[in-house]
Amino acid sequence: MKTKNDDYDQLPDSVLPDSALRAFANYPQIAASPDFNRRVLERVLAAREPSRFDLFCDRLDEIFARPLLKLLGAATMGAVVALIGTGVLLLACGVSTPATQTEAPPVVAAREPGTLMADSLFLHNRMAWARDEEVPFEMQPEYFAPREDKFQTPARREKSGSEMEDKRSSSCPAASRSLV
Amino acid sequence: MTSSAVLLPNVFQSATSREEERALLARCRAGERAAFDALLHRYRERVLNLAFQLLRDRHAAEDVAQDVFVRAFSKIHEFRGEAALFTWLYQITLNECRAKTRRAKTTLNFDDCEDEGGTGSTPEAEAMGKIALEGALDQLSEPLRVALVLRELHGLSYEEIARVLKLPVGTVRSRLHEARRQFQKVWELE
Repeated sequence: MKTKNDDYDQLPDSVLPDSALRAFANYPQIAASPDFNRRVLERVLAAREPSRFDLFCDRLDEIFARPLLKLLGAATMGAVVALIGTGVLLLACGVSTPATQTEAPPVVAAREPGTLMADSLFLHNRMAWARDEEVPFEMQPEYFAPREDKFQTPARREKSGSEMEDKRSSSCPAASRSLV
Repeated sequence: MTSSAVLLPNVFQSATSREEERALLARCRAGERAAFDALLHRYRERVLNLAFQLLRDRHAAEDVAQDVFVRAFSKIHEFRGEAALFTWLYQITLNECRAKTRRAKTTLNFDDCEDEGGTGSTPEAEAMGKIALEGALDQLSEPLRVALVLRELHGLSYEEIARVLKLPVGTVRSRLHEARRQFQKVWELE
């Protein structure tokens, strides 16, 4: 099969005019400068000179080629890899599991203690008083009856506080002034 | 400045010189400085003049020639040796010249050449011939000019030009045919 290049191969070698051939033959050539080789070889050597980073790497290689340091280096690398692996694992777990919804601690409202507690405190105080005073303690039936006055709610305390203050101010005007 | 017959050794390319070249390359790969020196001595004028003929600036040509050898010696391990070394060096030179032209937009500079003088019997006529030749070459497109320079000024065969330009021989032949046709037309006008 005939190709395009076959056509090119059939082209005759065209010849230039004599004057042109002479001009080509006499075309001046330049000579390299005397220090051409030296400059090239200097650049080649400079290009081959290892960089500071390469030297640093070589030094590291040299250090870690020693048997003991090789072992230490391997152990350190193992530890570092294990740490990184653990970190990555933990991070992955932390990312994959959604954070558990933590409820805010319930706000416990200051409540007045129940009657039972107030009663038992009352009894306890009575018993402690009797022991201190070395008087016999006798259980009275009213101790077990619900007694609202045994415990004061904050509202009552406030109220009673203001009553006390009123009393204090009426009995001792100097004390009430000092409070103000 | 002298004519090519005086300066350029005929390195293209007897069997003995190919053997010598292989031995030099092996020594270069081993890092032997004397081998680098020998290769430089063998090819520097060729590379320098090719760069000069394409750039027309002596200093730019010298820079390019140095770059070519630095690059070649740095990558000497990559040269497989299937073709002659000079084809590889010429390829690098052409690439460097193109890069240089792109970077600097090198302009024609006849002063350098005239300062150095020629070896012809009639320097005036020779200088005129040189100017006319360069003027005619400038009229050609870059691929045609390169092909003609490699053929007429460096004496490369079609096969060698094909290897340097990485083209089929038929394409080289057609390029040269066209280059000569255009050159002749311009030459006759001048």
